[in-house]
Amino acid sequence: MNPEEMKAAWEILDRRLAAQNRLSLQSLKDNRIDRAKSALWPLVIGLWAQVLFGVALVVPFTIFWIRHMETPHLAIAGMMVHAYGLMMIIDAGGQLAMIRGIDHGKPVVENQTALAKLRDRRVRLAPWLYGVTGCVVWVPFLMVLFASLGADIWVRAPMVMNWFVLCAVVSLALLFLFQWMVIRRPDSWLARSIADMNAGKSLSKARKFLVEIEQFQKEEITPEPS
Amino acid sequence: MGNAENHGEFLALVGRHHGIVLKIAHSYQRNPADREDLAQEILAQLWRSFPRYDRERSFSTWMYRVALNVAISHLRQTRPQPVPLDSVPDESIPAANGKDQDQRISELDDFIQSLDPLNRALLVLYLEERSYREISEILGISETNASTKVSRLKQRIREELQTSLLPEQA
Repeated sequence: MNPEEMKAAWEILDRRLAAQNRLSLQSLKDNRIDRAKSALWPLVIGLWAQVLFGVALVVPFTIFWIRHMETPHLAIAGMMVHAYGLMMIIDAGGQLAMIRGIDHGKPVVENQTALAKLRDRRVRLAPWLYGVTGCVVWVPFLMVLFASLGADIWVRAPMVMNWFVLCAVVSLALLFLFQWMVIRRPDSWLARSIADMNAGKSLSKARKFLVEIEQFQKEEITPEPS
Repeated sequence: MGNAENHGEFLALVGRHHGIVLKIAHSYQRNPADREDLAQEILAQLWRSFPRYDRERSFSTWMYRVALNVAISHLRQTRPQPVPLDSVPDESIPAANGKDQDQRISELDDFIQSLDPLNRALLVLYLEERSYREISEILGISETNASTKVSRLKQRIREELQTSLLPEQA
């Protein structure tokens, strides 16, 4: 088949599709299309939930550390959870801003780059941002929680604190170990399991598509004769 | 403009160019159920994006952009489903070079499916006989790049899909 024959086949296909008339405009005519949500809608809902959760951490924990400035270990604990809440709000806000900028009416390369960058950011950042901080932040969270109930476990139960800190250190160590294995030994069964479970597979897909877009945009220097 | 007027205008424009949606859905999904889903998703996105459509510019250019963007995202997110056998051939159009319509369309479909999402968009626009300028506006690449890529695509078509000869022409 040469290009002209391919065009002729395309015209045949066009006639067939028109004759089959599969496009249902009924949903448009019934205004039902207004209720159809964008594919990004679940992500938007999730991000707004993240903002609200962040606010739910920032407000009470800010009040707490301001009230406990005289007690350094409690003030620091409160500030750590406050910072975590702020991080959640800023991260969600950044992604919502990226989504707002996505317009399907823009040129294909521009739109697909914006979508691929959003996907890449989510899968690249989340394991480190929330994985690392998540291993640690539960310790100050519990300190503040117990202190709010009248029990300063830092002072009253140092063994319990030591146990909490040990668990946090072990969690961090395991996290870094797993990430190291994914990077350095991608063929190991553990690395494959982790890649299948979380961002590993998605990350390589997101990155691969960004590279594809970049290559597609590149000007080719030596045109072939037509 | 009121919502009812907007809706009426939108229906009229989409009705006039609905072939674009059908052809793009066909090019980006093989399974009929997935094609139907994709076509409806394209329509939904066209309606959601319609308030941002600049009426000074060509509707078909804008429609190609939206449809291709939705199709590419849809392709990247869905898993391929089993493909049914081709439909009944169109016998109203005589075949050339001894090939029937089904075989031509099957070769066309196979070639389209072999392309990555972006080059697939390029091929669709070439087959739609869009000018290089339009192709560059729709895809967001330069006109020079568009013409070079189309040339390479045509070369690839010639190399990968050799014209089969009639026995008497062999």
